[in-house]
Amino acid sequence: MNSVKLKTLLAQDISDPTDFPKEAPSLQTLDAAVRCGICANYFDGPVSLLCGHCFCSLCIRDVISRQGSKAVCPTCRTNMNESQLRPNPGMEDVVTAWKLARPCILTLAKPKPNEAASAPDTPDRHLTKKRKRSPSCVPGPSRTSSSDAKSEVDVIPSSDAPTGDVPKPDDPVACPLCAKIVRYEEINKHMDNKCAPSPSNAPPKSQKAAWSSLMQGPKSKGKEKEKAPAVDEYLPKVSYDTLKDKQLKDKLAEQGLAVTGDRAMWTERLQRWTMLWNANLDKSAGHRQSRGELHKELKRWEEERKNRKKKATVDEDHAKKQNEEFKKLVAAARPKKSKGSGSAVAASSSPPPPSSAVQPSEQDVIVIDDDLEMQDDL
Amino acid sequence: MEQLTTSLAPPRANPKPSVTNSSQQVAGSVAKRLGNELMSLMMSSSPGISAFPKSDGNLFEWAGTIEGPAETIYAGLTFRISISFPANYPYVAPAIKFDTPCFHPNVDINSGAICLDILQDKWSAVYSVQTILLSLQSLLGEPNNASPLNTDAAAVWDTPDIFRTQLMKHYRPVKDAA
Repeated sequence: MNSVKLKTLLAQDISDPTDFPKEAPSLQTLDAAVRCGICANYFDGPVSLLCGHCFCSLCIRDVISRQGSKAVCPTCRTNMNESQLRPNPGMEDVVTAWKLARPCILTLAKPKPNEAASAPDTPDRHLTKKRKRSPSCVPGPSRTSSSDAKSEVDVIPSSDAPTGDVPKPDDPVACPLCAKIVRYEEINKHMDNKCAPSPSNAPPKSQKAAWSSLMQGPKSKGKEKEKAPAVDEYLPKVSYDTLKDKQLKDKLAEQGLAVTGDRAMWTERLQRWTMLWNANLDKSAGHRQSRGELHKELKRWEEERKNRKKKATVDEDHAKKQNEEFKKLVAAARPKKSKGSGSAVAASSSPPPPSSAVQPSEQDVIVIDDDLEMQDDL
Repeated sequence: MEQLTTSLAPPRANPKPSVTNSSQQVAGSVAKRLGNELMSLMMSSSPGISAFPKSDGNLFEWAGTIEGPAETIYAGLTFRISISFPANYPYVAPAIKFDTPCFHPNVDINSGAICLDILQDKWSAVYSVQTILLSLQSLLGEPNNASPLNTDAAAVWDTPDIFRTQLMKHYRPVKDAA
């Protein structure tokens, strides 16, 4: 029952570099290279610092907001500040392309089913089991078909073929002029047309689906640009302490934010909103979220904070309730202590302590909660 | 916006039933990162270190083991540690302590507290469980005797015979070293 919980936690679409087999360390490295060192997810609105290190805009802004004027690059500890952040659209494109290509490459890199089944070693079984969770090859348009397994067998040898071999008519080849991937039988026509996309571009045959979707990538980015929010100016950094309550409220209203809670709450809400807003602007127009989505994001953040605080109070309450119990146990354990330390430890840890398994006394619990609260306030 | 109002209401009188539930929802992004770290740690076989959540329902409390590095005075010994992640991990360092008594210049023999800069003021959000465990492993063989937490241990570090005797006097083998 309990183990199910952990599994569901882990199963919620957490992808990581080890999804790729050990036999392909370069793919693991590649997958790790397009992830943010802070959140371990793919770069979302990547920005570079002066030292060159790259992070999600929101992640690094969070670091800066905590470290203030003493902020340093999490990777190399070079001093940095918010004004250094520069969007890295190149990396953004790489991430977009990689996300699209990943499922296909996973399929291609996976040991063939029959091989995996016959392989006797157990660690590998774990690997394949894990990879089953990852989505099969469905990039963009669902062109993949059930003949995937077959296509692997067909495609892989052709790419590995010695250079002297003449490609088959269906094989993808790079155009020597524009580097676009074209089927071998169409390469001449393609070049005769001055590399214009062939009008009769029939959907690739299913057995080529994996490779072609991999090579072609996303289409026509230009048109999505109109989606961006109308106002796209960075919100300035404000020293909230100097503002009067009325001014703070006006600022909140200006951004369409709630004015519930106390002054501290307003400030935090404004700060988080500024962070979300500015981080969103670091993304290229096509990737930006709408104002409404940002509001939802802010709401989620407030919910999380609420839960965090609640958790802390719950632990405190629980500690108070259990205090009597703890005292009894301590009293019971004391006499034994003189005889042998081992038995005393066993006795004091035997009560059924709930979520907070290790805390033997109320004080310990409260200290930990205080820490949490303090960190929240940072 | 009504929901925001409720979020500011004082905690309910008896919020107990939601404990497990809320602990899981505390921070989706944190749980995600921890899940990610767990995967990486399990799949990449780093010799001599391991870590896993203590209970199945809570991703924020882990237990780990560190084997003493070969050719150091700790060779052949295994130490159990506990790792407790704050809700704002990785912006804030996890709390780490030795559960196995460890006689070491930078480890408190009683509480298991560790004096290591990257766990305190030099913490960086790009560190992970794996980097922490590796740092601790190398700390075993290369203590920082300049700022000792256990002055006795620092004093006898240069006399390996005495040090080893003290070390073994305190050491308790890990029961389940798997």
